[in-house]
Amino acid sequence: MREIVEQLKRLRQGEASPRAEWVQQNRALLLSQIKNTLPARPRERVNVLENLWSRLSHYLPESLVYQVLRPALVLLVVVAVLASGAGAVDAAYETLPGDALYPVKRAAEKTQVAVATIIGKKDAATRLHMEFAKRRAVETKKLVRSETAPAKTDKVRVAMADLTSEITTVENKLEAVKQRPVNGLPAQAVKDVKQNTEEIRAVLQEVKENLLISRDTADQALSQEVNTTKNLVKDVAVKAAEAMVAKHLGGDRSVSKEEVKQELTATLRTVAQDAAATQQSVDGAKTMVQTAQSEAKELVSSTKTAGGDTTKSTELKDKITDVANQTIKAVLQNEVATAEVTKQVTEASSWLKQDDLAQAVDKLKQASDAGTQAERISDAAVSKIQEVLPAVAVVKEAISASTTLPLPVAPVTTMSSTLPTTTLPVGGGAGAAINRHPVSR
Amino acid sequence: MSKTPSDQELLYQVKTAADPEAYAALYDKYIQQIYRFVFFKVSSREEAEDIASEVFLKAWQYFQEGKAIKSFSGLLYRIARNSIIDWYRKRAGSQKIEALAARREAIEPGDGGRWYAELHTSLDAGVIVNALKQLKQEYQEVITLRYIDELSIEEIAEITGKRGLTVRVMIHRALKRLRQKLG
Repeated sequence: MREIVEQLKRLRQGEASPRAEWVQQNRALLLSQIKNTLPARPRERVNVLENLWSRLSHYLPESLVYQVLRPALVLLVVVAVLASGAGAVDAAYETLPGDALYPVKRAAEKTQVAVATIIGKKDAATRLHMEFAKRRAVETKKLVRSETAPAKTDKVRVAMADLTSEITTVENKLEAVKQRPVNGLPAQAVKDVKQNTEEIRAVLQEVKENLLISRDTADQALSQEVNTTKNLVKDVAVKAAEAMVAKHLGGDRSVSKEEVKQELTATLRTVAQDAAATQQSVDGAKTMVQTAQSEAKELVSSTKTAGGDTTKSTELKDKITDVANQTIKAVLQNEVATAEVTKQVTEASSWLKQDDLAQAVDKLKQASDAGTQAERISDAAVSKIQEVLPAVAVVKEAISASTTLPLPVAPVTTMSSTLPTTTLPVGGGAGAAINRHPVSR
Repeated sequence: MSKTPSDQELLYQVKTAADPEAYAALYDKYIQQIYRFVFFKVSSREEAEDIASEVFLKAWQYFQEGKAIKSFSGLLYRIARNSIIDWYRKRAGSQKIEALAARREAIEPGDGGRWYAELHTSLDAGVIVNALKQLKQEYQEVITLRYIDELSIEEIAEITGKRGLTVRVMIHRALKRLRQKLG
């Protein structure tokens, strides 16, 4: 038997082995083939900790790394942070979503919720959820200001996901109150939730608007994601108003009828203001695109007079005309939606006067839904003109370079390249009023 | 401890950074084994070279698709085995020798090839290769992996997808069968 094994081993040598020359040639060929399959992409910056987990999960079972090691390490850091004094706590407290220490902050927050649930008052955990949701909103605002793509998108997404998770927990509690008003959160806590969610909504509205008017398409896409979260928060605010009414009608008088009415009136006012703002935005968009349209027409006629090639300017003019038509359509649609908001708000106010809280809150809900619709129309219109305005400058430059015509450049340049972003019309909430356009109210 | 990076380290580089040089290092490490594995099953050196080359390209594509890989050698042998089956199918189709492919009992290694002819110049090698090619494919495989490539039982178990004990038994039976063939 041993002899057979020896003979087998000898087969390894000689012809059973590949030719050294082929091995080298094939290696070079393989390398060139695989290099061709690689996309030319810049190296992404990888979070050090994520890199560590990813590296560990390569060697150890993924479930062990992500379900055991990572939580264990986070817990260790939490303990270390807590044990090492206020400075370290502050260090984690100041972190933003996506930072290395952010999971520590989240873990500390979750611990607080867990402790509050066990030993705190009935509404202690809800208060914490609202507090953390507020933090996420403020952090998102900071991130949008300080970060650049693509890290910005990723970090904002983390913040939005965490905010959504906090808000959803609160939403479930409100739902429970609506189902059984005698149980669950006390009326005062529901009122606090309503006020806090409205604050968060205002912050997110501002963030969304700043992203929407950015020249960067990634920012514009991100604005849609922020808007989704904002709409969720807005719905929860309305749900809190409904829960407040349910509590009151269910016999909890810790928040008086007058207070409930005040709260509903305040929300109705915000809904009406927001709807008016979307109308101003879409009207502003119409004005801008129509100005651009007449400039484009002028451009075509001056090019023709000078005997130049009008292809480019005509193309531009057609494109702008198309956008202008769409914007006019949006204005009309927005008018319908805004009229609906006004109608529902008026009816709600009338019910409030009659002290019918249930009817009033029902109308408030409908007004809020119509407001969301109006905002969607206005955002789409603003986004559309953002696409076409930069093209005005580019084509104009190209044409003036090729024809050397004494063109009336000033108005178009004003429209597209020197236009301060803050003057672009964007609809939305009271929280963003300071940044809004100069269109008269 | 060896200073050369481990398979795991190289795999990590390939997986996360799509590093061609790390992949080349894996190629250097396994090309001989894969070539031999293929070579004993096909009829010529050229065909063995083509298939071995294809195996490494396919494994790279597998990485590119982001699929999970437990063992790189296991993956290579699995791809090699499938490539050989494809090769037999093609050959069966073109040469109308379906009977050969269907006869799983003994897929002839290296018959008709230059390697086989030259091996016959050495009587010992000729006799043993002749006996080896009469074994059924799974016996051929375990003997090649164990005694020609000198892999451990665990490695063979991983490559063949069988348990260690089964591999031991198979090697034992394959050797016994080989001895019978050698008469």
